[in-house]
Amino acid sequence: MFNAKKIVATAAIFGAGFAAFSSSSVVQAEPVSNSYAIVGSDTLEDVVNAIVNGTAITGATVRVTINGATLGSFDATGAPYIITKPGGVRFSRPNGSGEGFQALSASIGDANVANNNLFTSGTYQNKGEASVSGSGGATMPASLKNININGQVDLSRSSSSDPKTTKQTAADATATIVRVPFARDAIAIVMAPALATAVCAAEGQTGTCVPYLTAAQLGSLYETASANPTLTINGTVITFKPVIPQAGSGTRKDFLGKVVTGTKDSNNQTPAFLAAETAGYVATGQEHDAISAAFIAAGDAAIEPMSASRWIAMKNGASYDKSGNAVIGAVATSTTLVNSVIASPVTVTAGVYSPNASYYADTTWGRDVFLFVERARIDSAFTAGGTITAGSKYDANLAALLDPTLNTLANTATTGASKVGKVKLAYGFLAPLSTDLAYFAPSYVGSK
Amino acid sequence: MKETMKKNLLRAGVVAAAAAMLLGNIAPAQAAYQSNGSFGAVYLYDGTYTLGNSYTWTGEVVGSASATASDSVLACPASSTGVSTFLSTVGNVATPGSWNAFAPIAFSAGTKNVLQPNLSPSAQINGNALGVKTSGGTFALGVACTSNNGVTVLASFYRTITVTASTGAWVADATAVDSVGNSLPTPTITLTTPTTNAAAAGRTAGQVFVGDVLTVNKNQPAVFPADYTTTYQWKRNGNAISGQTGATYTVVDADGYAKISADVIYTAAGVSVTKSSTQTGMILGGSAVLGGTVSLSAGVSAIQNGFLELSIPTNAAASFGSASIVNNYSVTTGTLGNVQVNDTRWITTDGWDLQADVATFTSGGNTIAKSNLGFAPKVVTGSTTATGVTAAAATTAGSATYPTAFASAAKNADLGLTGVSVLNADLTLRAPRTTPAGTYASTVTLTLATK
Repeated sequence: MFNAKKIVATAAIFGAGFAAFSSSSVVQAEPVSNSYAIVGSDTLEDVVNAIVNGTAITGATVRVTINGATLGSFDATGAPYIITKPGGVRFSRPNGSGEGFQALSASIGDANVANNNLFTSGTYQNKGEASVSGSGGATMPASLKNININGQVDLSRSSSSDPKTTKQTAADATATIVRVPFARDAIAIVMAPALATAVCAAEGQTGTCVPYLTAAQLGSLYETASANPTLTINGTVITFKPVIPQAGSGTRKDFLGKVVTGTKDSNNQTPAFLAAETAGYVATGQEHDAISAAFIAAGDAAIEPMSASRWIAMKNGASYDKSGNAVIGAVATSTTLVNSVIASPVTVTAGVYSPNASYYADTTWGRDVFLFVERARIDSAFTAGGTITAGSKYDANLAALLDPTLNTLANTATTGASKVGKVKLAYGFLAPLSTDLAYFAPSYVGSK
Repeated sequence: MKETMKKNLLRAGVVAAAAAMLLGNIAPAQAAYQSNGSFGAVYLYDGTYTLGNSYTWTGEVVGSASATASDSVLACPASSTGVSTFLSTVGNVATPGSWNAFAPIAFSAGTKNVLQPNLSPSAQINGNALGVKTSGGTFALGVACTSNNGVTVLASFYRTITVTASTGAWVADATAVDSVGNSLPTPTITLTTPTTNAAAAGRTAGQVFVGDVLTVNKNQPAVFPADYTTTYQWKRNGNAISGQTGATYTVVDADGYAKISADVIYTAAGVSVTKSSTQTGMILGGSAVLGGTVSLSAGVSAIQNGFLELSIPTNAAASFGSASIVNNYSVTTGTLGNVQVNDTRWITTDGWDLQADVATFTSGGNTIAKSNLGFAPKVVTGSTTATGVTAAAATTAGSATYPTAFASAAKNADLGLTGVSVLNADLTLRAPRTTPAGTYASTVTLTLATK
């Protein structure tokens, strides 16, 4: 950074990169990771970016590095593709928790097995296409499909506890991916101002308007068979225009899992919901974005699920503010609605937004969020049923990054400006309710 | 990530307010030069915010300006535009291009303060921290406040540490305020308001006149620790002038022909250091004059009379050459060797006479009469400091008579500085023709007598 020699050296490295990989890589639009690459959840992208890129949101500079190297975290959205490692391949950008898990699965697949590391994002971004099939959109260039990404992804961010596969036990030989608790978030809802005002009025709220709906009410909206679904609240009929985050979003999957009631597929989608989305009764937007085209188009009746943490981060200026003029509301349960008074997901003190611990503690609407990693890399005893030698893939640096007792990615200490947990708090995250690890099989099998 | 960068730019302005409210109880920084040259004290706290000095290579450690609170900020100068943590050799603290390793960090929003900087050597991600771990040694570890995009170091807060080679375990030296003042500037005195007195009309550069107003300049650099208090003391010929403790001083008549200097006394963290200016030249233009009488009073001590002595080297022996035949005589020549007369009778100056007598030469039962020895006295110049010393006349071999006069010093003659007379004599032995060959021995007896 400070001397000419280093600048010259950097230029030389780039030059070499172009020469060696000119056939597969064109101009690289964004930096690559110096060590580990993290992809996945939109919900977690800003807080992870802050932690690995360095932030002074707490007053102290907090940056997690390892063994003299920086990490790279890649957003869920942006250019349609990313390159994560020096000289690495260009592949379609994983958008959301599910695709992050998918990319991690592809990255750790056995490189000796043909087609075992191929990855295609389900979303060809910036083209307005969305798909949950994992085969890419119709207009996606062939050069972005079925890219071998072996070794290109080390960690995936996930706002969902089980983004692609079902939880296994530690003893399962196929449980080659481990889930590490990262923080605790909560799912809330946001509404257009006029809708929020109408709901609060119907609910008889006289103080600060915190519109709330029950899971059953939300379920009826997101499995609606009507172009203009309504709810009757204390006798007042109110029309809603539901918006749902894009496919692959962990928030979408979590939210649907809690509100829809029909038979759910692996992404918690029911036939009724898919029918409503296909018909446009439920608009598809972008998660944590109250200024998305879909939300704006929904006008005064707009409602969509929202991560409480992202709302706090946006309102505190920690994240790019896409809150627009929407109003945050709550999902009412026996614990969030006490004596008819709703616990708001967030509290505001002197203009600073903070998580409301009681709302976050709700076992339905509060949610732990995670990082996923290949198990053998942080568990020196794991043999995957004898298919790998214990310790052969163990990486002490990666293990240190995920050790909650260290001031690294999994840290949850909220006392002290130098702590990673304090950064998470500023981004609207509390410590996870459970610190237990969980085990999963990879989602990816075969070519796509 | 491209988008992320864009987001970071956009959010920067708003973060300030939020962060300021998140943090409320950060003590003001203390910044007094430390004995190792650090701009201020840096205390080290571990991951539990416990104060310590000894850490592992990867151990969590943050810096604070306080020994009692882990969250006391290090206050960079207001002109700072950047800040880094760094690990360098002690001599390269202010040379970013020569740091062993560093990591750019950020100020607390809206300030130039650095809160809890991550001082773990392993977190210095740029450069070659692992080289330090491998080699071990003495290094500086701390925070550098910079400008010019990191090229210029305005101030450095750091600890001197000793790293154990290979393990990278390290220990920080104790903190201590610079009690010697190595980092403090030396003040100077300037003439700020010259007097208009007529006496100063012919002033030349550097002269100071009674009536001039002098000002002490602390010569502090633009970037200077904020919490030093300074006081002044003006001095006349090195002695404090009562009541003169301001930054300026008007030279008074009493200063005439004296020299003026000023002390700046720096105090911080209970430690005071005095830095002194050089003295002015002699103050001119006062009523004092140079001149007057000097009373002289000298005592005279009586000189003690000394003594007269003859000094002959122990086992003294004359040296003779080989015999040769001259006019059918066996002739042998030699010298007596130096003898010394010391006469320190400074008061009486009696004078002295030295006489020589010779015994008969013998070789077994054979003899040579002493009249056959010629004795030619001489004063050894250069070694003789007494004056008035004269050698006696020589005797002639074959007709000599003994005892004979050797040398004398006249009465009342000056004895010179030391009263030393060094004397010698040339000897000639002419044996009678009937004398059998052989080695003949004799003795010269010297007798010294006062006149």
